[in-house]
Amino acid sequence: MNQYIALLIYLIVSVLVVLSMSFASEMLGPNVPGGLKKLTYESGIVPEAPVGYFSVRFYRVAMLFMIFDVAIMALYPWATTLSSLKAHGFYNGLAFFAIMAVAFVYVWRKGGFQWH
Amino acid sequence: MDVSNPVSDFTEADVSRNILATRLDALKRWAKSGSLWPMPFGTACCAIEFMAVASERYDVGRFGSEVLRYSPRQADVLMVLGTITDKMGPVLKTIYDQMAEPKWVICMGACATSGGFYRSYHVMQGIDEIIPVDIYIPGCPPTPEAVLRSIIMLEEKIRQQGVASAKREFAERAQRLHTHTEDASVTSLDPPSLELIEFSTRTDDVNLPWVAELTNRLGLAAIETATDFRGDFTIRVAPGALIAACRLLREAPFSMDMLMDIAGVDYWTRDPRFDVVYHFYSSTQRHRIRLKVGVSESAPLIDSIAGEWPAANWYEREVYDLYGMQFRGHPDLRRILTHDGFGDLHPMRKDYPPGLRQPIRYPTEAVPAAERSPRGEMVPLDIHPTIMNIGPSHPSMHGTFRLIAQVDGERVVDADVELGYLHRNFEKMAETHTYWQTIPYCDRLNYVSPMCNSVGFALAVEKLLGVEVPDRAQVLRVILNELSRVMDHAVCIGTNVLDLGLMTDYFYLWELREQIYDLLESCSGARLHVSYVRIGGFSDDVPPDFVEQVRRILHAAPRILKDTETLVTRSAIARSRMQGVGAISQKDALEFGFTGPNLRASGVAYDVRKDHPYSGYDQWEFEIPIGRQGDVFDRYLVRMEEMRQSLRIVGQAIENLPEGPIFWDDPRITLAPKHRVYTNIEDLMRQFKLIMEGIKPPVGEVYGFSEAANGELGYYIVSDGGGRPYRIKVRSPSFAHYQLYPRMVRGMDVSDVIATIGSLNIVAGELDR
Amino acid sequence: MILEIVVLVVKILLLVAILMGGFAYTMLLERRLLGFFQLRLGPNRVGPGGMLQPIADALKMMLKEDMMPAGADSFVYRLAPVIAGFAALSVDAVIPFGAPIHLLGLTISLDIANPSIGLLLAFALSSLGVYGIVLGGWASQNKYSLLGGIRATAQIISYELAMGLSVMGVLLMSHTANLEGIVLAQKAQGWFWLPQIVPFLIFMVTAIAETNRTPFDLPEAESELVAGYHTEYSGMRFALYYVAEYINMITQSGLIVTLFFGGWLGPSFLPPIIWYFIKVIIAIFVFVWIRATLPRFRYDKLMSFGWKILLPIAFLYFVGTAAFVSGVL
Repeated sequence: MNQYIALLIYLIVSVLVVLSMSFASEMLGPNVPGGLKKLTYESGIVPEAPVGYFSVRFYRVAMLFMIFDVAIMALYPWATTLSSLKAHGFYNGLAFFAIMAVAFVYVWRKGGFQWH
Repeated sequence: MDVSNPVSDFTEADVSRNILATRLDALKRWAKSGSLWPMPFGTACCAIEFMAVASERYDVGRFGSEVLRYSPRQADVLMVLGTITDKMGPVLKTIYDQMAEPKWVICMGACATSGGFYRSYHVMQGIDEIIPVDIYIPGCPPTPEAVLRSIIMLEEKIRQQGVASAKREFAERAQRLHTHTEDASVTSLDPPSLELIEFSTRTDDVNLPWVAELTNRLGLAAIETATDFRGDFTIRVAPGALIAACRLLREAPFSMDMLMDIAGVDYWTRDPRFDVVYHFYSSTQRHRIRLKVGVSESAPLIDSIAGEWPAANWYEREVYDLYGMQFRGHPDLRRILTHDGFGDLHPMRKDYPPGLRQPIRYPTEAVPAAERSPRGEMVPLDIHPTIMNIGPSHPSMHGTFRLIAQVDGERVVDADVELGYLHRNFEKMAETHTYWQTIPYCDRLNYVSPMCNSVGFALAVEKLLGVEVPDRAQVLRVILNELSRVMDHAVCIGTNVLDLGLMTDYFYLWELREQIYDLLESCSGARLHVSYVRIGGFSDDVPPDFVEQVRRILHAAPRILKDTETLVTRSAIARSRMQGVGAISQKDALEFGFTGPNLRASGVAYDVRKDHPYSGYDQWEFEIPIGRQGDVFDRYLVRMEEMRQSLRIVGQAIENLPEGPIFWDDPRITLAPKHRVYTNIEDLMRQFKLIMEGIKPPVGEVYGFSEAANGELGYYIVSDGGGRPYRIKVRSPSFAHYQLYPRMVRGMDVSDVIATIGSLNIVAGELDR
Repeated sequence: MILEIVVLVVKILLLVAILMGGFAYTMLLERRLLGFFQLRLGPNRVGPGGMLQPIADALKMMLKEDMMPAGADSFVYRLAPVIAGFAALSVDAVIPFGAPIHLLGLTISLDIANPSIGLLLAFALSSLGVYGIVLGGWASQNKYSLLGGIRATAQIISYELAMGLSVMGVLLMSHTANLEGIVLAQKAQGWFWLPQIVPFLIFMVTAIAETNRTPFDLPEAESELVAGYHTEYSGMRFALYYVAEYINMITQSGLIVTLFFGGWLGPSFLPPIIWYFIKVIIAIFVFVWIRATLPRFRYDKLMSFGWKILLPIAFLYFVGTAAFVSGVL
């Protein structure tokens, strides 16, 4: 049987299992509304204001992550076949690494991995 | 079927016919009872005992209840641990409402059950005023065994419960709720005797050169009186000269650099009615001065010194809150300890009945109001602010502090704090009790190391009386005091690293604490609130194996400290979380009246035990560790070293424990032994007089201070010659530390905010009193 | 054909049962082990030796009221725990539990699927889990949850690169991304943990981060964010996050064992599947041990740790391995 069909069946089964679990409490549990029950929890205080502006300061790091992650993805096929590519393949790869390394060092020196 | 009561004719017999239903129901009840995840709503002393329940000796985990959930959505049983004040009421109610069904409530301790011995204006007289309770645990605090028993009882209760729907349970619970009561023993105070009007105005012995210098430079008109009582110098200045005097005190030769405390006193029948009392200390010259200003009742106005002494900010707010004095030029004069329901009333005034509570409005809206303005003195941001409450019911905020943080992502841009959630009116209670009866209240100030508080109080009253306790009692006080310091620091470090995510070390340090508990229990019968100290000595002698027990602790402690060293000091992650975080400069620390380990971590070697030795501390060898940066790591290291030094003191003291009496047999101060009370009339009368009227110290006022675990613990006691203190103001170290906290956290990440509060070791009992 | 379908169905049901049971008893194991580390006993009252504790917990969770705060995005709020649970469950499909067995004339491999890109698939599926956390934190309309969700993002972008690079050496040495192939390669070349010791340690670190456990439990950070991203969740939806965390722990242990410790390989006196589970339990023990020993990172420190320490080291070691494999060295 095709591996991927088996995988697909398993994934469907696990979605069903998880879905049925996630609705279990809603079906089986009690439901007693009232009072401040639906208030979001904030250490027992009635929140003064809803979530307002929320700055995600590491968006730059996130962008870098995307770039480098894609670069690393490209290495997987290279890595699995390297033993047959021999030294030629290695040196070609090395050029690729060098470019990556330069970019990495550049970003580092520019403070791209600084938190703030 | 009766619709109004759908279950009434649904009998057990009907149910048992359906075997499947009963089996299924039994299974459900088994599951619910076997998996009670507690939400600890810890506010005070009982929370400390609950920590013991969770720790290795008692291990609530055996019942599957070690999964503490701090989110009400995920918890099954709300454990109310400690005093609930009126200010805390809405918080408790909100959390109860937010819990998911099915839910139960265990109410631990006398305070939560009935208000305990705090029959006062700010303490709820039992939480069943607002939420239903399933199990009450008596005790103050209950023993860990009692807490375990309560969990077993709750399990039994759940297993035996009939087939009742959640709806019915809910209706039943709502019926059981009491209505809000406001009649909590409204007793009035006796008016003071008339001789009160002139207090300790003797002008003898004021011969220190710097006091004369102060008189010279301020001008004779500014100084109304200068007195000396038991070595405390008091200068009464004219209201107009207050700011000038406060400014002058900073200069040489006075060189006052710490504002220790500001207290209000209400002289009720006098004009001007109020005094505002300022305590200054010079950390370089090691001397103190007390400044007094009279304030009239008709125009309770006084200049604020917050511009001159930033630390005055909160102290003045407290005086305003409790006495209603208006401080001219105060940056942010609003209530600090009591809740807003007090309106124009100021509960520490003598004509305010001690037990008169003010009604409070409970939140009922389910959806939060859209947007309200930020609180207090926060700066408005040009972006939409996100205001995040950290606390009061937050795992790291000890259940009682509330940090209102304006956050931008993880970064705290601005912050304000709210305190008073554990304001249980120590000072008002002390005014209505005799000096002796005040000792149990003192124990509950810093409930992490109760012994230090009551020893401090006894020392202050003894100073007022002008007596010193016998040698044996002094040495015993040193031993028990130092062991209390060790156990306080152990909890501080344990919880601080727990907040950093390292949980195991907490349990190791708790073992050290348990060993000290064993010792205290064998001395006094109680684990935590020992009430062992008496004015003039101790209530009873230590058990015969005392020395042996102390030696055992001294033997076990270094190994436990070594474990901590391995897990924390040598852990790179722990160091990276602590080093450079929450640094306090020497200047700030002095400016805000820091004392104790927190001050020493910032590099100032001030320790009452060394600089103003009491109880014979000068005869023992020990050193005062100081830090350099004043960051979280330095505070941790200072505490670690202090524990070692304390053990060193105990080691010397236990080998040199003198024989002899443990209290003076003075009929004015101490009770006679019971066998004598039963056999002769003099001692019977002595017992009767002391119990009914109490110790009657001379008219006067003293500031008695000692080195408690968190720093200088001062009791400012005003005596009118009667059996009850006319006024006690506690100078608690935590109040000073906490005042700097909202300023410190500005610009910090949320993680550092949490690390910092743990390292300051603020204890709500002495913060809010 | 029918036989194959039956075998597949049995395998799927078995795997789900193993994972769910594994979740429950891993949790109990952890609670007992933490008790052991902390001089306590841990759960021992419900059922003999506390063995029924997880059953009671699970049943109670089902009987708990389901909550949704006012203002929450109801669809996303319901979806998020499903994503987390699904991501955790799905990864194990490609991890082989034992050597293929011969039964009824069929060769049955002890995994659901055995695609040639098994390792990539495992990474892809397990990375989905972070969406469950971020979306759950966002949909709750709770400030602690939101912070927790954002921290989860910050965390994944800090360690995932190092994680991806750390397994590259294994790929180089085994010439395949098929997990069964990797195990078989270790049969020939010896277990990879020794030649790949540095990547193994890096993978261990990042695996803990992937499961959001101490010292990388920033999104949950109980002492800071109350319960972090799942503060508002109750009942089974909350339990699903636990399911995800513990199954992830089992999965990551499985990956560590498969990639570095020869999967099911072991002396023949025990069947391969037993060897596999023994190794997995040892790995789980290490996870718990680390949780009991270390405090939590602060997440700017985590970010510089991931980018400035783990990533360069993983990269250099990878280049070295590549040079070695290609015969340059």
